[in-house]
Amino acid sequence: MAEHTHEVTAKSGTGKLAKPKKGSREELESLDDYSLIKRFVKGTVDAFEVLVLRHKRQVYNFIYKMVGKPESADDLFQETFLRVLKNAHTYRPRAKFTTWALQIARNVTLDYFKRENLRQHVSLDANVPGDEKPLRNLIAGDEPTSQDILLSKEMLEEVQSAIKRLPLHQQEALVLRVNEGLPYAEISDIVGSPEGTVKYWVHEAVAALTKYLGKRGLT
Amino acid sequence: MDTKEAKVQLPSYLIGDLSPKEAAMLEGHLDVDPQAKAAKESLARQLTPVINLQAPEVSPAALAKLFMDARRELVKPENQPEFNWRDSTRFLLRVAALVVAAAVLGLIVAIVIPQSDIIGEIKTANGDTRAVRLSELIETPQGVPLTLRLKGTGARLDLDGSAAVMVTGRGHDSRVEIMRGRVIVDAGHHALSVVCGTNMVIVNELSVAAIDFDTPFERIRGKGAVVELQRQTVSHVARVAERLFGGLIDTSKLPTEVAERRVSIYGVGLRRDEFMATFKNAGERFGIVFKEDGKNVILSYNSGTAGNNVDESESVLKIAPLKGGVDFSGEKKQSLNERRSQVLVLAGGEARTFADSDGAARAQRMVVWAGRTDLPHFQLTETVSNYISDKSTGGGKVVTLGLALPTGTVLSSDSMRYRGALVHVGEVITLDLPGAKNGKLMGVMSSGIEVEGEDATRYFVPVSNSSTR
Repeated sequence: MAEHTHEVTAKSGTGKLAKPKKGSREELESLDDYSLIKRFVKGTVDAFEVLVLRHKRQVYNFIYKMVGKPESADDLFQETFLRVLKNAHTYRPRAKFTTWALQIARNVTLDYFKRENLRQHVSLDANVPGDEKPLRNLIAGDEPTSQDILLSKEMLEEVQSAIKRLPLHQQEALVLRVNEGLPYAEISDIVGSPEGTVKYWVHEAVAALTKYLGKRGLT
Repeated sequence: MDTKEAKVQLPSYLIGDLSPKEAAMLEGHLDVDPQAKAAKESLARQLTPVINLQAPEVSPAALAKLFMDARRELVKPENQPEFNWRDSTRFLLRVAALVVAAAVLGLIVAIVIPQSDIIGEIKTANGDTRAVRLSELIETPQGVPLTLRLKGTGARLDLDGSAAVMVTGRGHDSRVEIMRGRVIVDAGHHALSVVCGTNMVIVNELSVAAIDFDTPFERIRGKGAVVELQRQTVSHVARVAERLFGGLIDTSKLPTEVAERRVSIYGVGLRRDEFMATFKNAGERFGIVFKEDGKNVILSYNSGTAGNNVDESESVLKIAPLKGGVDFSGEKKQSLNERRSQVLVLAGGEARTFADSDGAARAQRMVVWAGRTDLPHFQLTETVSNYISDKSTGGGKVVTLGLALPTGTVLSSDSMRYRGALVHVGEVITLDLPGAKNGKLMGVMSSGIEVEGEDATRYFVPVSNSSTR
């Protein structure tokens, strides 16, 4: 994969464009992911930092939406990128870096669930206990707009909790498709299952969630 | 399309799974089917919070720790793997041919020029080692000390965190350039030349010197995930704070010479209040008053609160022989000897030599700043002030004691060696000082230690025997 340099429109006497100095932050930020990996494998720590900052949002989003706790998500985020660092020599540029990083994040999250024995799956189809607060109570007005529903923090916590009660494969597929907006082909690479299967999981997850939210009074 | 068919397609439509043509057909139907449209609105209310579920940002502290761990990992020799660029057989054959050619050339070069550019090795605090090359810039991350040993001379350099050195020359012709930071130089069995800016220091054979080259340096990672501001002006630090945390810091009321005073701030994952507290502590000794005004801060000057010994230099070089002697060549040559506890301070273009108790205090603080409890050179014989913090009122009182921390007490950044025992922050410590027996060591700074007892938190601050500190 060829490196490309970033042309800076700096003024000079000859009118030529000035290139950022090699190894400078500006130069590193202009490199693609594969070039950054090549650099930090050779020991340029700044290249690793640029790569992390570039992709932290997407990787952290996925991890957080799987585990739901910021402290755990922070730890798993660190573990994910340390594995990226240690295994950088195995990365092949034919796969997108985000696909590879999310594969690692997924494995780290699965290991976490196994270690903590956290995946006590309670089906969304289980009867809603009588003392559970109806979701409708968290919404102001009779016919709230979608935006009004979005803004309620309590509502978001309820939704996050409901997502965590999905079977793991449905939860992963839902987060990657619906929250991260990734194409099915990429999700298929990340979770290691065929596209059609992943699509089925997403729709199952959506159906289960909407049924559950409907039972909780959100219609 | 009927209502039932439309309802079946609604989930796919709302999560973006329909093709543009399918989506357009559905939308057309919704315009004329109120029942299907109502179903769409209901489903949208259910799915919108799912689709738009937000996550917080990864914490700056987590980022900072990740970057610190990454630096440690990359220093390890086993983490310099071969990077396989391609798999093709032709490429491998080409590589093999190049390797053979390089080996032959290397052999020729080795015969003609029998020297290697590896001049030493680095060892980190946790024992990892790697080779160091001629003219390689060696930088220590914040809080990560390193030891550099030079081949052929037995010289050893202990670098504190946030230091940078470069070694040129080989063997007995080795020359060390300290770009910044605190370094303890053990010359080994041959005198070692050390350059700091435009000044030359010769550490004599079998001698050890603590050298602190405090020069402007700045490194900010992320949005304050790692902050290294070294000897930056007050006005510049204010601009950095505005950039990192927002708000305005008004420095217009400061006299120019006060705004140009230099401060140093280091931290990992600093929040705004932590950064500003450090900034305030550093600025107050120059008589700078910080007044909060919502998210903004106004800085003003009160000459009555300014300290006496205000260093106005851009850079400060301190040299203290801890064993044997050193020769300093600035405008004139000066020789310093540890037996006379001499310390040289070069600031503002003026080199001043301190001796006896002044020198001892300054030399000891330099080794303290070097932050290494395993170094044998340090002796602290200063008296201490006992500052007692009253938890109930938030105030405190100072009681000056005529007691001394005993010879051999060594203060580091996270531990102290007291009466031969190493105690880390968080552990119980038994100090022979009032209120400190069986207390918990809460903090260790170059300025003193913090001990939490049952009734109060106490700060034990070394007080120099001299009249000026």
